[in-house]
Amino acid sequence: MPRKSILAICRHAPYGNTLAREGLEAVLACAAMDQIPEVLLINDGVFLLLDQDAQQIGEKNLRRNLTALPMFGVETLHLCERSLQERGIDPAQLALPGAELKILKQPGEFISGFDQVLSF
Amino acid sequence: MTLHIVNQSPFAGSALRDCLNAFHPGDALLLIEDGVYAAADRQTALPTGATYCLTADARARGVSIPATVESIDEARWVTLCTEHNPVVSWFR
Repeated sequence: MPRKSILAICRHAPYGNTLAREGLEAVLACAAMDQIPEVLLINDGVFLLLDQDAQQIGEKNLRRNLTALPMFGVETLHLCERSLQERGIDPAQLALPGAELKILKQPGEFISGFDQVLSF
Repeated sequence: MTLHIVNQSPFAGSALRDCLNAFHPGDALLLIEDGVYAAADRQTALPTGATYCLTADARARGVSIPATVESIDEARWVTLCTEHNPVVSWFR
């Protein structure tokens, strides 16, 4: 049976609830099972890429979890252009070591190309 | 094409708005649970000809379904899932 393509949609900001953390953990779990998913940061999920000092609120830095993704084979992060614009984030200021950041104008078209979609 | 399923009231959270931002022509939208309150939302335009609503959830909540939204039962929901790929949940 051909392998199915998997997309993880992360649309929640870090720290306010557990979804952002759970999403990244699911991505790592998929990758560890040799099912490397694509990752789409959309809506408040784009806030994951900002530099963070989570110690201030006694949390573990979630951006650090993002930086682990390339080591697990997730080498591209897809970002929704509109979500970045709405939140005043300049894509030119964003970077993640070892990962390519791809800006999507049409996230819906991108999503429709996958077999399985995990939502966080 | 994608089937988007929303289960949150548009007045309580961003699930429907986030879904519509990622809606592609040819996709379908299914409103379930508190998502059916979107039928009462005057601010948000739902995709015409592509929006479905679970009859039981709407009736249970006293939400009247506009003519632009197709009211369906669970069996039709299953059919929608087989007709579309992928299925994306916008819960929370």
